[in-house]
Amino acid sequence: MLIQVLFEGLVMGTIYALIAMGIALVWGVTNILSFSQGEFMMLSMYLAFYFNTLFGLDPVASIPLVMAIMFLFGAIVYKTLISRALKGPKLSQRLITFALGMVITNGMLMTVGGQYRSIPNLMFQGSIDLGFLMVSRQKLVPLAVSLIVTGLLFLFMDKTKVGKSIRATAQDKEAAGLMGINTENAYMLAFGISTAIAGAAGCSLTYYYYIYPAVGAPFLIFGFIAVCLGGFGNIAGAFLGGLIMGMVDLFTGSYLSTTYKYLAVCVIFMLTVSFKPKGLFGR
Amino acid sequence: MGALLEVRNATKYFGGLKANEDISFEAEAGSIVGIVGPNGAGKTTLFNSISRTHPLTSGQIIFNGEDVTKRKPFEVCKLGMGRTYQIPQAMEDMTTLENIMVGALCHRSSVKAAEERAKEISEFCDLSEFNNATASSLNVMQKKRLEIARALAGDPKLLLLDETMAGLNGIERTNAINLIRKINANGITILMIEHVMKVVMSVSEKVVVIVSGRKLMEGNPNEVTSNPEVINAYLGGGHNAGCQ
Amino acid sequence: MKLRASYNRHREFLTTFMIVMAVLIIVPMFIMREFAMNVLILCTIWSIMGIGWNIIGGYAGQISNGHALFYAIGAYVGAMTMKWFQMTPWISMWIGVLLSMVIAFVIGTPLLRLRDHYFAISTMALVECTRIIFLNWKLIGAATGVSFFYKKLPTWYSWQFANKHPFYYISLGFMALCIILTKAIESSKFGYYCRAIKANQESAESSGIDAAKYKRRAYMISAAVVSVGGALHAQYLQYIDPAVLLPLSNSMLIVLVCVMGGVGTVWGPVLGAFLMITINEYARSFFVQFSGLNLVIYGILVIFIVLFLPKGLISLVKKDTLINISRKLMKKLRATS
Repeated sequence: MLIQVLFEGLVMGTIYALIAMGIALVWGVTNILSFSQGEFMMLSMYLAFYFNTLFGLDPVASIPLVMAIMFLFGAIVYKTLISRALKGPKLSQRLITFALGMVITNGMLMTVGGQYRSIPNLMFQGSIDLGFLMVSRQKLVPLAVSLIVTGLLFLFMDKTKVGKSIRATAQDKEAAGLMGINTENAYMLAFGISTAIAGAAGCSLTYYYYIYPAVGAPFLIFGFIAVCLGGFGNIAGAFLGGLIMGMVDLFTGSYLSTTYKYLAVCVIFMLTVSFKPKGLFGR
Repeated sequence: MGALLEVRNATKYFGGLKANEDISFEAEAGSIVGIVGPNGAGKTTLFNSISRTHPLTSGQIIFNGEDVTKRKPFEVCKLGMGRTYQIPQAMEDMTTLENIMVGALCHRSSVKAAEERAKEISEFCDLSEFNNATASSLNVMQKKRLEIARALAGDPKLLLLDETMAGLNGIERTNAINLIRKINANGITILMIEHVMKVVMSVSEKVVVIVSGRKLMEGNPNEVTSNPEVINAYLGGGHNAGCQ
Repeated sequence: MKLRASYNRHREFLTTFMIVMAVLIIVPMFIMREFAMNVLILCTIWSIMGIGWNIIGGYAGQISNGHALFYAIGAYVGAMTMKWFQMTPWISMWIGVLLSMVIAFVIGTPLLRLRDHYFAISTMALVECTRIIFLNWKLIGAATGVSFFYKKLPTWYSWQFANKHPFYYISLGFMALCIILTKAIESSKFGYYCRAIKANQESAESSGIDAAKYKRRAYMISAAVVSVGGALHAQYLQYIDPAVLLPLSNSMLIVLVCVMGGVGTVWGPVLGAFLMITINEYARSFFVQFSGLNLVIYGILVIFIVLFLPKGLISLVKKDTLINISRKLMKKLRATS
């Protein structure tokens, strides 16, 4: 039973981790707290849904396509909205992402309606019985996908020139600029990448979660908390924070009750932040 | 007159990094004391310890007879210690006068009284024409004067000046020196960090030399500039100690 | 003598105040339509909440995204005391205020040590915690919330009137008080200190400001004001439930109303509330068949204001802006001729 909960917690945790890493990336590079991550995820869930119903594409297979679309979308959002907001007061930057989220959520509500949807044709169904653990394929696939995307992200940030230039910009924008890095592009890429990650999260989530316009909100809050648990703008920390959130979510849900799981999460967060203001792994 | 400020065995570690080690000196009431040393010697760290911006790892700060080692920055300000920063930290969206008023409100509860005092101080520091301009519109020199003005408005007994001369040209420097002399003439003790030896020599009565986190020596300006170890430390760091 | 001096210093504010209040008192006397009065009432209530947030967020610069907590306290205290004791809101409102201030003191002390994004996120987590507690707290109605309606009590006692006008004037009265409060704070030592903390906390501390103490005080005052708004709103709707504590709804709207109008100014939140609420309510009723369209419009409006009026709507009204705009127009005219 314990292992089952651990597994489920891990699955959920990787989704939170993806959202959290997106938030952390934008926070670390541009110092904006993006309130639209949840909505980006929601959009990609709908994209996956339509690719599935119209072209019979499995959500996992559509991930590369969805990520590409979301990346472009994120880049456009950055260029048109965010980059201009950056010139203004900090508070407005946060609010513009919130307003964007509001527009997207309600726009979806208006156009496609609020009914719950789910993907009809999943490629991987059923479960594998390992004796001590019942592994549902529907949960295994998103887990694998999330881990792969996370791994790719770390590789990208660590090994590639572009990734390194983004990290340099995050550390010290002026110095990076002096070194010849195009910091504007770095900002745009960071935003685009974080949107794309939200895209991957969304596709994965469609495997076992309902699709509806307001689905992003709780993930956003949990994403914020995960990032804080992990420490300032630290992507690795956000990843671990996300996993912790997933674990707490499932453990309290199974052993206490569903209603109190959010409470437990928030209380843990408040305690952590009171005693360790920079997060569990922050500098 | 006794020592207004006593620094006893001040030591500050940042993790494993030893920024200040066992520094001791005194500043007499009404005097001007200069703190000199090569870049990275730990002078600003020392200042931060004195003004309580960060805690001391060990040692004591005695101000006006009171042990303030464990006090918070706002408490030592109320006790009479004012401080400026190397890079001026003005309240950007407030006007010049409002900035100074913030300092004046330290010992006044009425905004009107603070405004009166702020106008006096602004006059004293030659900032009157900028009274209603936002701090962000001032240039570096004016911002430095604003820093000093705001600190002065709090009626300090001791003023800590952190590299006020940095980036100033000849005329600006002379004006700054005159201002410092004017402030000291009003009975305020001054502790100043300076790189520009010429300035320190012409203004200070006592000089404390900090090298690599330790106090190398202290004495009057002539003693310090003719000391071979001091010259060595400066030439080693690329500074010319013996300018006339 | 002292009064005369104060009058001179604040002449501009007093004139604006008199004019605005005169308009807001007289004009509604001629409004008969229920819907318009409804909108006006909501505008005053949201003004109060914006003003409350303005104190901690606008003047002291600590961006809280969790003020729905204090709204809820004010609302629930009012609702429960009415339901259990038939206590008049004239009294219960102050209980709510007191409770809010106590809670602000208790959570403010650890929370205000955090900066920036951390503080914002903590306030959101706090609101979410509270929401879950309220959702499961049978004593105060849990998910069903509280609704109350007492015909037998005298109307001025229970605030339940036949038509909307009396409630509007009560609400307006409180709004006027809050505006005066803001002005008093702005011109006081407390106000200067808050602004200094917002501008540069380290610098403020070296200038003798106990930042922790002042931030906490600002938090407590803002909690009190927002809870007044909450109490009024609950009495008006005669209903309250935990949905108001959703972290991304009321908390963010309180912030929006203030920021759109102009943070750190006396009239900003009022302007913001009147404009945003009016547009939202009319859009909602006009486009009732497209659920969600009013919020889309709201969001687009926010984006528009953030991009083109970064200092908020108040910058349109400021004399400097009008002078600058006319100067630019003159320049362009001269260039083309």
